[in-house]
Amino acid sequence: MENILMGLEQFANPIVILSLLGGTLLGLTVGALPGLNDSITIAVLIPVTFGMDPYVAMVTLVGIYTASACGGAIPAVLLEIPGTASAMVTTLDGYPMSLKGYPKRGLSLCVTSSFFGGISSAVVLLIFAPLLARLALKFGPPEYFMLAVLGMSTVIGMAGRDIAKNFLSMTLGLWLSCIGMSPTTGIDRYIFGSASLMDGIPLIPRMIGLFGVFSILRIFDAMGKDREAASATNGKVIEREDDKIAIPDLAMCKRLLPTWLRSSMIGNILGIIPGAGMTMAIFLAYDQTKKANPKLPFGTGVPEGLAAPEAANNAVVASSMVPLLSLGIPGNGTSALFLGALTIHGLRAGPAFFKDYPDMAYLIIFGFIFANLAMLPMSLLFCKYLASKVLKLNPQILAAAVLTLCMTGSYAYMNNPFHMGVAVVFGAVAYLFWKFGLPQAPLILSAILGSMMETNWISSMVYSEGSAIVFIQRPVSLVLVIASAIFFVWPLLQRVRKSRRIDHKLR
Amino acid sequence: MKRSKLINLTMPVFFALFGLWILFTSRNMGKLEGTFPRMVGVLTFIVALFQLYFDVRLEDHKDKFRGCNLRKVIEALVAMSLYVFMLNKIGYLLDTALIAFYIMHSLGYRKYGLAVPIAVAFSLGAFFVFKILLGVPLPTILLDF
Repeated sequence: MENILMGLEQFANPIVILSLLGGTLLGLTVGALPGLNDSITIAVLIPVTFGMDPYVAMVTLVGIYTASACGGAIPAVLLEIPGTASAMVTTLDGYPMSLKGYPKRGLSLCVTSSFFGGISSAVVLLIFAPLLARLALKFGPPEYFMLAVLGMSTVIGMAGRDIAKNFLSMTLGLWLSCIGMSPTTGIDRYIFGSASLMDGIPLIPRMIGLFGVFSILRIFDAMGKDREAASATNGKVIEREDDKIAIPDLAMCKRLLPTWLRSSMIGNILGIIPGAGMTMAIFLAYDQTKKANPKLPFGTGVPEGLAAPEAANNAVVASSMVPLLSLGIPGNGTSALFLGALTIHGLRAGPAFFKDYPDMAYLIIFGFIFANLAMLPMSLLFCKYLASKVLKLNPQILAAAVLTLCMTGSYAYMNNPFHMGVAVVFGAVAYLFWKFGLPQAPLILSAILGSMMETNWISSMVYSEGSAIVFIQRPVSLVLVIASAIFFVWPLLQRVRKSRRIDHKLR
Repeated sequence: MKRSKLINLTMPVFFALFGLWILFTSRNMGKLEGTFPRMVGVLTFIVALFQLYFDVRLEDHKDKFRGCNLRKVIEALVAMSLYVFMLNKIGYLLDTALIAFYIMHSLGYRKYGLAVPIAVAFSLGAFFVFKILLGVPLPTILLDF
């Protein structure tokens, strides 16, 4: 209780509150801009937070992360272009609702559903993160090693269709974690004579490259294609007189409650599992909602079709911070950025986080709760007054602004132009990954978990005198071994079953 | 062999060679610091061979670079690399204004009367935030304080 009050106390500072609101507004704006998202914005802004008070910095990032998933629905509903990847499914019923003459109703439904999902995930974070952290304090090297393996197994099993590509992405990440001084002996590895690589490849410039520089390269890649085609039908959207931005009435809320609950639960569970992410949550929530409402004509502007993905994507947001704050394992790319943000302020996420920095831990948790509470009215006002203006921002000018911030941010990390080069190289890596269908999530996660894996593998081997049986001798480690096997094998079995079903139907 | 198949095979071949390279370079490392890279090398090589096997057997290959503007992407990467290289030579303000202008121009923004002041404004804005507010020692020729 004392710790909770320590976290809450920080909100007595008006600058913290203002930063949270500012972050939320920024999150809505970047979410609404196709091509920008929370990861890019947080990656670019982390270096700007260097000189800030850590509390102010973290609540700003929390605000951005919370609101951007909601902002992504705005162009999805109005233009049929998802502002973020997490709003892909929202277009299916959002745009048809606009075509029916109810774009504002569509936006209102999205905002309310996002709020529901967001609050549920913040509550999950508040309950589960401290519990899990308390449990994790008893972990030894074998458990930590297995935790890293669990993270890898889920990300490989769930990150995409092609398991070999997931593995290759992971091995590249593991190799990247080997660059620099060995965590056990201090001998340098793969530094190619560069002193700048002695500490390895830093997380922030790497992420700026993977998210920020890559987003610019994608715009260049798409040059010459008919990018206006998607919004060509924009003119058909007409607004009816009874269409307005407002919280849905009680009858609609009652109707959507089962969808919100179901989708939030899906989002919360998938958020906690490292690597599962928002994309999986939105498709699963939409699919389950369709199954639960077989008579509804999904794809024609059904409220449930908007409520399901929007509740699910926001339910992933705070719950993806559960493994980060309690175990030091990021749940997805964006929470990996929080790991970087905490590190540059001298804080270390992991089981001891709640013990060593209770004020910061609960500030983040309550930051998510308050950001969601602020997001509801702010999003409604944003949709009413600013959304149409934001959508008109020039993408060419925005791209120049993003690149300026990416490059300057990478330099500012350690005042070294070498890190700008790192961002450019990783931008190119992300582009090639995208082109060859290699998922980024295993690369990001394994590059972070690699050194943790290596250190704890060696410690476990020293502890057990070289016997790998140690991993199944200890109960928690054994549970983690089984969980890893399930998370790795289960998606594979699902796929095999699905393909057999298709074969059976074809016969 | 079709061009699309050839392009697709470059990825597993690269990873197989990369795995071998990791194994080769880790041969002189000691037991403690060399075990993990060796494990990574073996895993990379084996999985890359699997991927190569499946890609060779696959008949329907899509050209991953078809329809994309690869020339522009390479041009942008070269421009960014030049930006990094020139930073300490011409200073942050000019270098950043040039790259911002290049990005707008190459993405098709043709209002030069606006593009130039916008590029300068971005450069000055970032300079103000990072150098003056945050105290980051950005390399400058003029305004070095």
